Amino acid sequence: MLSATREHEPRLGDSPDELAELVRQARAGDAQATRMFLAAAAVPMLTVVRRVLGSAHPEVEDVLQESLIGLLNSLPRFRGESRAVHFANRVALFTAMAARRRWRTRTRMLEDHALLETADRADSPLDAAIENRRRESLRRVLDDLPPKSADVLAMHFVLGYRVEEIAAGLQIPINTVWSRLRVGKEAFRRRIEKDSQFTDDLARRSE
Amino acid sequence: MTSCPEQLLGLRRAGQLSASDAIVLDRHLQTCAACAADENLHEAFEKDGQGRATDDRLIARAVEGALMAPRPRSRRSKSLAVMAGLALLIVAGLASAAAWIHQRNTNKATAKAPPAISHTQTFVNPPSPVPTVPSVVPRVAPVPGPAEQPHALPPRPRAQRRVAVVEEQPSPAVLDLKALFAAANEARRSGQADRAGQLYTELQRRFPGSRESLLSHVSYGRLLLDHGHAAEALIQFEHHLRAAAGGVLDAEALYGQARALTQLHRQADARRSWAELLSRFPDSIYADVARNQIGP
Repeated sequence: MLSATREHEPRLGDSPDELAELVRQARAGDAQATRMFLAAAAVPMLTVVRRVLGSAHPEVEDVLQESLIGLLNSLPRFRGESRAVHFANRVALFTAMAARRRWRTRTRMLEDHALLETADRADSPLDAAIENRRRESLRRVLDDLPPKSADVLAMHFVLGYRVEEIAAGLQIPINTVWSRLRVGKEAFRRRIEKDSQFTDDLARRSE
Repeated sequence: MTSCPEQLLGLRRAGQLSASDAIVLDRHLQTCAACAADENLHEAFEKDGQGRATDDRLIARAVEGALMAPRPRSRRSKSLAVMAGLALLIVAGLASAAAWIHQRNTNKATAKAPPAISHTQTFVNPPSPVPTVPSVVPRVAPVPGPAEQPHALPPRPRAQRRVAVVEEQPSPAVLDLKALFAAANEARRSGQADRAGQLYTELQRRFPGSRESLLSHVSYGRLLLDHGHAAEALIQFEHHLRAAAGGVLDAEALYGQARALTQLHRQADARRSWAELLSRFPDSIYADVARNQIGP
């Protein structure tokens, strides 16, 4: 996905980029620095991949590896205008979303299973199930939305970016972000309303 | 400050919400289900994707896999390749032209002179460029070895997972239901088939009838089937189908049952399983497989 390799990430916070020196060395061809950079970037990237695929998805490791390859290949285009970790997270986000689009049905079957596995990790199984279902609903909306709207929605919910940050990251006007976000949220709400099981769970929790 | 609630939500997540805006937002959230859902969704994703004990090994394998993967050529090397290709084309063109000229000369000589003269003409003619071409071609466009053929290499290896891990692990006997289920699934995902089997068995023995136990029959069945134990796998799938009929894993269990029966050469039973899978889950990813198995 082209947008994954563009690098116009907003700077989040004023702290210096801890990975900048490693990136510089990696771009200069230093094998050791490349390895260290990948290992450091892989930690937040793994979180992003899990958020997009679902924690217990069996392809998490493969998609992480695919994301790391994408990061390596995008490194020559990284100009240091954003923090390296944010750049890496975007590569992971778009790689994982592309993977979901490739699998579609298969992913959904596996997620039904994953849904039940992860529900047992929280203190309250019902709360966990509700949160899982909420995430799952969004993932399925992401699968079905046009890619441009899906990208914006994923950056908003999965990476936690604000509208201005998404606009800067994708180099599109803020109003366009609002518009795509609105389309995505509307689709999400429609899905939630149709999900009777989810509604039942919510009702049980509020009792 | 703007009164747009979505912007206020963003500011709260960033920790930049003023006290007065916080009051406005909280009041809004009490009445607006859409914004409340928005906030809940952010919270849900923030809690997701948390690290696990085995992440270090997972990351190490993924990094190694990424470093071993073939890299696309840089723009400079692509330019060199294009130049080499052009040079090859020019040389090939010259060679063809020379061969054509040579052939034409030979034909003329053949047509105009007797055989004896033809032999002399071949001998006295200045050397054509043809003989020099083969020695040039390899220097301009060398045949790359396996390490120099990024596009000819097999596809990227999948993540190098399923590595056996030797570490201190708690005895299944001391784990409670949830811990046992989580440990079994973790062992299965990380490729520790024996330990996963031990944990699933312990789970089913100690907590029969629990939801975790019912689910484990499908997971364990798949594991057994993948390791060639079709008869044992069949018991697991059939148990799930009996005890948890209508569950979300019915399609998985039916698929496993049908595969196990096929492996056991129980063709009539397998056919019934495939048919049931197809009739109950016609839109599942297993439907095509089932159709192929049943045949016309």
